Amino acid sequence: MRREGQITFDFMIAFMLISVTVAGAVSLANGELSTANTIDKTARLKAFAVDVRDTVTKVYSIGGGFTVVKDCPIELGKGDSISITLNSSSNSVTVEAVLSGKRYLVVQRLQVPVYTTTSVTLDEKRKDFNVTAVYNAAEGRTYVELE
Amino acid sequence: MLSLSRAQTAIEVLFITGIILLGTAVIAPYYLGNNDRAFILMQVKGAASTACSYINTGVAEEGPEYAPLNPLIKALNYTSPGCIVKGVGEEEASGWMNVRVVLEYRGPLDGSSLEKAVAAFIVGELKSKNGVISENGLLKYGRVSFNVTVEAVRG
Repeated sequence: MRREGQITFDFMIAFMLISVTVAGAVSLANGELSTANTIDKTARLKAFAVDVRDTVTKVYSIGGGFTVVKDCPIELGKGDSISITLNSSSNSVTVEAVLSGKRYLVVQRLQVPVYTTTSVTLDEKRKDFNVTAVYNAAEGRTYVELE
Repeated sequence: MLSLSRAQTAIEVLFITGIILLGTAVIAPYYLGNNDRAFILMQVKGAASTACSYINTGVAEEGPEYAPLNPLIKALNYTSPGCIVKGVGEEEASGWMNVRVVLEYRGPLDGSSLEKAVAAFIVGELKSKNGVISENGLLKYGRVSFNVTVEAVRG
């Protein structure tokens, strides 16, 4: 008795088993992916914050008139932004990022003094910023600024 | 004659199927319980090492997932305490399982705040991702009730 064009029971069972396995794998992958994404983004931001800190040290030690152009470490899409702040009161660099709706914050203590609080915000259009040292002859000290 | 022998085969098949099903019914709960325990241990270890790498990276992500760990990162001044998962073990208590996680870290951080934060994070992860529920003050996965305790030692 041949019944062509009809799905066999065996096939249905096999299909069900495969569906269950695939659904399990997809849900597992989703969970792992969100963790991996977080770790990837936080690691990049940390490296970036350390990089900015070292750049400030470098610019400060070279002295007035020296500028380093830094590029954004992460591809920024619509609505994403990274703001970098040199804070003179806590003498630290703060990197605050909004990436696909989530906020990330990292602070690094600076090894050299900054005398003014300056800040830049990178977004979809603006992808780099300058770290500049300005020597103030009247006060006899070097200001490091972001612009 | 032919139809009689056919009927006999059917009874034999029924009998054998019955034995197989009975065997499965006896073994399955035990096997599934063991499976649940292994799963819980695996997920707890995974969550604990995620917590450690998150703390070590020292970048705070705002959101309910990482909320228990963020005060810790701030207290550490965004530096790494070199936190690692030293081991995960299970202890049998009366009617439930105690999952013990041992962390090792260095630096001036207060151990009890690390313990509390990581325990809260692990419980949150298990509940949101692995279908673990709270029941009578314990956590429950499948038919296994358990509790997570974190111990932090200075390395």
